[in-house]
Amino acid sequence: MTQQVVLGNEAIARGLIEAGVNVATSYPGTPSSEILPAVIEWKKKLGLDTYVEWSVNEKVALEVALAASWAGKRAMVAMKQVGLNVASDPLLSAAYTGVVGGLVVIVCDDPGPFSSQTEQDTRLFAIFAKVPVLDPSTPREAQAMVRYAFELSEKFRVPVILRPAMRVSHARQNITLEEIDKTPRPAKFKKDPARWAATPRYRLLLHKELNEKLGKIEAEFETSKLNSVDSRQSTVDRNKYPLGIVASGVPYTTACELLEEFGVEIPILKIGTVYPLPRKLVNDFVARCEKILVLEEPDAAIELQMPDRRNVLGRLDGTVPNAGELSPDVLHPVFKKILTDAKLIDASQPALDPVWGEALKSIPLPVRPPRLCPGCGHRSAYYSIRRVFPSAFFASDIGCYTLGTNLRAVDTCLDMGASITMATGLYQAYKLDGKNQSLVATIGDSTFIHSGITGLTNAVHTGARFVLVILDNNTTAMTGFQPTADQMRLADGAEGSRVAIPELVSACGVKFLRVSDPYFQDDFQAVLKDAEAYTKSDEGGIAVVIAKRPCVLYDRSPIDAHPIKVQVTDECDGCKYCLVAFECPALLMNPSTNKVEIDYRICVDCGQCIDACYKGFIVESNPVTISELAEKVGINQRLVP
Amino acid sequence: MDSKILLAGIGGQGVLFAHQLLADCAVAQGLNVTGAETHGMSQRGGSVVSHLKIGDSPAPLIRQGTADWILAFDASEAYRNLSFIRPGGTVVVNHAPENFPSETVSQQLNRMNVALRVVDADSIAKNLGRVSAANVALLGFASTCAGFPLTREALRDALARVVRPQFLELNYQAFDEGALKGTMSQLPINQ
Repeated sequence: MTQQVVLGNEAIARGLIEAGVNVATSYPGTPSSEILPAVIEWKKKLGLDTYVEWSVNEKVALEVALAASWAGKRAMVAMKQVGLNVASDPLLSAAYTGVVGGLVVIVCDDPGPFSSQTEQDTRLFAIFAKVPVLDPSTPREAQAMVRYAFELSEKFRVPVILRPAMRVSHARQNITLEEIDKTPRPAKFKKDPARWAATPRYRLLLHKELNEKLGKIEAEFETSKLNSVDSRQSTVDRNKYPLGIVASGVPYTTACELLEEFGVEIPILKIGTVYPLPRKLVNDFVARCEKILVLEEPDAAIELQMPDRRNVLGRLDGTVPNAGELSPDVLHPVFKKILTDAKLIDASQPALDPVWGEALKSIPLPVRPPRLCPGCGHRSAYYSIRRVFPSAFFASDIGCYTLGTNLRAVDTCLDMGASITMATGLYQAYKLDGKNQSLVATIGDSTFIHSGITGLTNAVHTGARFVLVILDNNTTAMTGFQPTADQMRLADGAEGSRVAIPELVSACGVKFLRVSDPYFQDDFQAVLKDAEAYTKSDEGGIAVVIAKRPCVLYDRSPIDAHPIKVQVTDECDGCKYCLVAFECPALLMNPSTNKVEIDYRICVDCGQCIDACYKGFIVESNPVTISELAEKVGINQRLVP
Repeated sequence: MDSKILLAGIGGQGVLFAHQLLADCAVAQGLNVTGAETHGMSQRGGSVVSHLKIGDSPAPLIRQGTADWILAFDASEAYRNLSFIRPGGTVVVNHAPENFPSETVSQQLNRMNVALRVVDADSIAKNLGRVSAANVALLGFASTCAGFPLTREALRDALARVVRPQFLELNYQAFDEGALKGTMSQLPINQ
């Protein structure tokens, strides 16, 4: 039995490989991004022929996986919770049509939230979509649940959702490597228009069929070993317990640990199959306890399915906070109060020494908010945008570049692709009042391909006017450098066809398109000015500027080819303009000298901050020669279609 | 014996590597591990904290006031996370020993009977010509602290498994130098 210490998402990937997954698709998004790369790693290591792809968005990913399942293959699709919003259309329909080969939809939730715009609960989404959902507590359990999810999906011919929370996906645990299913599953699509192309009349039949399936699945869940009553209850002999706990996911593990800390023995019903909820099992448990505490993340999917909530304490009645992660620090006071109320503990247990707060408060600690990296091309782009558009509204999008808020160059961030549609709506709102408001939308390359194209087509078609800057850093940087459709490289390193962003922009009907490197700030600002002039001209419309500069973490070769060492001169008067307007982590104020200093430990020698001191106090340490300069200018290739 | 270890530092200091090394080492000795890591948005240049539990608890997070160990790769991140240490626990900090900790914190640590062990792991790594080896130097130092759940030998074996061959010798040097500092600091002459 080989043991391996892995991330939760890697345990899930191992489960997928063990289940013999044939087709694996995904769109990256924290906390789900490590699943597909780990599948690819196993595929290569074991020489498997698994088909893998980074799809352009979650809807596409789900549909590709679904069709493979209809052909009889085992398929999986992985995404983050807000990705399921994008994929909701095929998911709800697929619940009706059903599947042939197992289809497992892995959706990672983000209680907290740590890296998302909402704390939405995928388990509630599953109820809405009428799709069974499994809720693992640990990486080990997630690995085993993947295998079961495929069996369940094939037995009842429904898609099955596996919903790990971030603390499962990004937990690290030792797992046992199990046998790999190598059953051949030849592609065999069987025509059945009443199912695969069902009209509304057949849809009603499919809906009834789905309801029947869910009834049978609930019956199976009543005796599933994924739901269990913790054995510690058997050590206490009582007819009725003063308190019982129903828990799922990570809060289940936290509850076990807290009960051990408090030295209290009460029964815990662990729920691994949240929907359909095995209601008989839950009701029987509830009947044996005077009070029931329900612990789940991020919302109240189990609690809402409980028919009798009169004795239930949880998210809904406010016993448990109704938002945020249920960390042990959040749950400890909740347990203390409830266990005291139930007379299970004596409240005089000593609390954490309160002196800590004061002792630590006296120490000034550096604040470390998330910031764009030193040398990030987005910073240069935003700096220029701020210079050229002092009074514009800035509609932005989802990605690293949302951190442009630090440079006050991001006014809106809603969801994937919304920079373009927000700018469109703002334009139309001001136009109603006869005003031509300056608007700049910023969107990343991956986000543009994910959801920007439809919005841009709409904006061009309806005559909106604004400047759209596509921040193209050649990769999906925030989530770990996954390739976009604009690259040749596919998920597993194989060669694909490049779908070029400039061509996509032109195909959307855009008549003004420039590609410019934001590192060359004078040129870039001139392009931005031309773009604005175009949006205000008689024949104008939407002007698109592609700010092309590779992510500094992903590809440092352009900087390494021409490093520019900078220094701050003695004339620095400590005005802090560069710190505020350029906001590079490598620029620091030395309070004792009241001068800015360069933190050479993290400086990448991009030289971009030279432009950020308008007084000229940030200079190149070793200025380049004329020929070197010519070579530098030479690499700023403009592409004017 | 079960242990709860909190590792704290700044992005780029190799906190996650240290976590993986400790976890691998524990599993090689037949123990179970569960832990939690920082990823995504919160990882960009910010504070990095990782929780590691050696033993059978499946819950990934450590509650405040219950960590047996804090391994801090940066002094400010040590302060930020000190409230996690339990009474009687041990805090290991990468810093110049003469400048850590502050007066008020020192009193509190004494009241809680917390052992404080400070080592300038950055200097060790710098002397070896590789600043990024400070994390391994700190682990070497920690391995000599009383009650540390993993032995020096076991950690060296784990290094051999986890580190790429071309960097192994350097990592051994950093680790051994840290361990030497740890042993020296416990000699009677230093007390």
